[in-house]
Amino acid sequence: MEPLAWLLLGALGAWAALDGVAAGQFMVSRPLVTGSLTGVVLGDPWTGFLLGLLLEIAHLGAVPTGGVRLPEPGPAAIPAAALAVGLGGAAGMALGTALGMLLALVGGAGVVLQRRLNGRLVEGLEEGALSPSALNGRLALSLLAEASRGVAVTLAGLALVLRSVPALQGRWPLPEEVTWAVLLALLAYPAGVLARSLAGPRSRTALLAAGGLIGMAFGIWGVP
Amino acid sequence: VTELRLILRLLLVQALWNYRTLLGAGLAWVLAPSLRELAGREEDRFKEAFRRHAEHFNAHPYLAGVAAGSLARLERDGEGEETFRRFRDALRGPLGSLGDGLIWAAWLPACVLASGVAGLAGAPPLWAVVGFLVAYNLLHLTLRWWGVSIGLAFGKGVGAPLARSGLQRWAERVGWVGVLLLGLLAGVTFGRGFAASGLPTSADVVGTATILGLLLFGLGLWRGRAAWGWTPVMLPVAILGVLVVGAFA
Repeated sequence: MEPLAWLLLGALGAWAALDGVAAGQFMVSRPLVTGSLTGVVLGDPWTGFLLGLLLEIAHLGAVPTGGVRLPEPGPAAIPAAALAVGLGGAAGMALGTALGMLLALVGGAGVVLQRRLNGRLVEGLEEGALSPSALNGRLALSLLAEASRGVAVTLAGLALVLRSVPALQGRWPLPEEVTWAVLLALLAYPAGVLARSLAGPRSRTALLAAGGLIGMAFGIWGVP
Repeated sequence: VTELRLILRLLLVQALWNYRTLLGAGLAWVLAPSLRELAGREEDRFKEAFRRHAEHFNAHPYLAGVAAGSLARLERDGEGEETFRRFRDALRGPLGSLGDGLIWAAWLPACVLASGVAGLAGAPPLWAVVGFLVAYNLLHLTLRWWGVSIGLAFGKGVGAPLARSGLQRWAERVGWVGVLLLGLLAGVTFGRGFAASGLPTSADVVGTATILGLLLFGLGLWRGRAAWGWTPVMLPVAILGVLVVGAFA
């Protein structure tokens, strides 16, 4: 991988970590976006997009209410997409999804640590012991820590991918078609969770069926 | 000027999110310039107001502007400590649940799924992603601006425009669109598979996986979020399990 690609993907990891909670929340941090942009940097946007979409299906059903601890799939999707592009085919997609989900757990643990760090940074604020002007510096420090966290997960993941791609090449045991079937079957579970969170039981069944039938028609006979 | 400054600062309202005060420290940071303006050269008044707003608080980040705008207005109106406390307590629950229901549980999934459908239908991936970001942020930024505006305009009476906005009803409708898009995405995926390799039967692996997928989908649908907890661990373990078993087989 070119040094420029490392630089761009590291910067994307930092942006994704910042955008996830701390700064903006424009959803640049979604795996669909980070996966696709990684694909663009590595010359295969379609694989990056598809990998990002699979990671979305796996994570969309989890709603970040209050202080709930969740995985952080945004920065994780960068090395995951790199693995999918590097290996290619359904094998790359399956292993990329697995790596993305595992790294998202690491990222999620990092978010917990970040929140604890923030707690220490604002200690004494409610009691008036920390001055308002000092808070600007603490906020900058928190953002720096957040960005560093994103860079660390991304670059460590990319280093792992670069080492493992040659070793994994040709090792995936299942044929292309079966791999897709198994991967989609496994992802059907979080998709069910997502369906439940989207709508109540009465409207859900009819809408799912309608969408499924229209989609199947498009899938079989092509999109006009 | 106050409105724009609040909106811009609100982009970092969660930067100091922590388990003790949740959004409190961020909210105080957002309000600081407004408080400074009101206090003028009275340093003690400024510090006291700042400390007051740094206390425990939570809301959906996109609707935190409702709280920030209202609190800035209440400060301007010279309300007392007790009013602030009661007002913050009263606002916390609705601003969290309204935002979570509309944005995290409906708008975000619907936008992602729409982008996925567009990509699978043949749109260039980058365009599908740009479309997602534009559509999503249209509502996101509107909500931030609207929240600050009604907060500053209505102050203590902000509950009325919030109730009139019908955000809950919108969340329900967007959820319907989301579930339709999920069905569409699944349909396109299966349809393409059938078109490429014919209808799977229970005798082949793809057919068995399809049945397994339908069962797992039903299980997820039945159990909902309560069962999501182990998904991030079990799913990659299952994929890696296939690799390991296959390597030894």
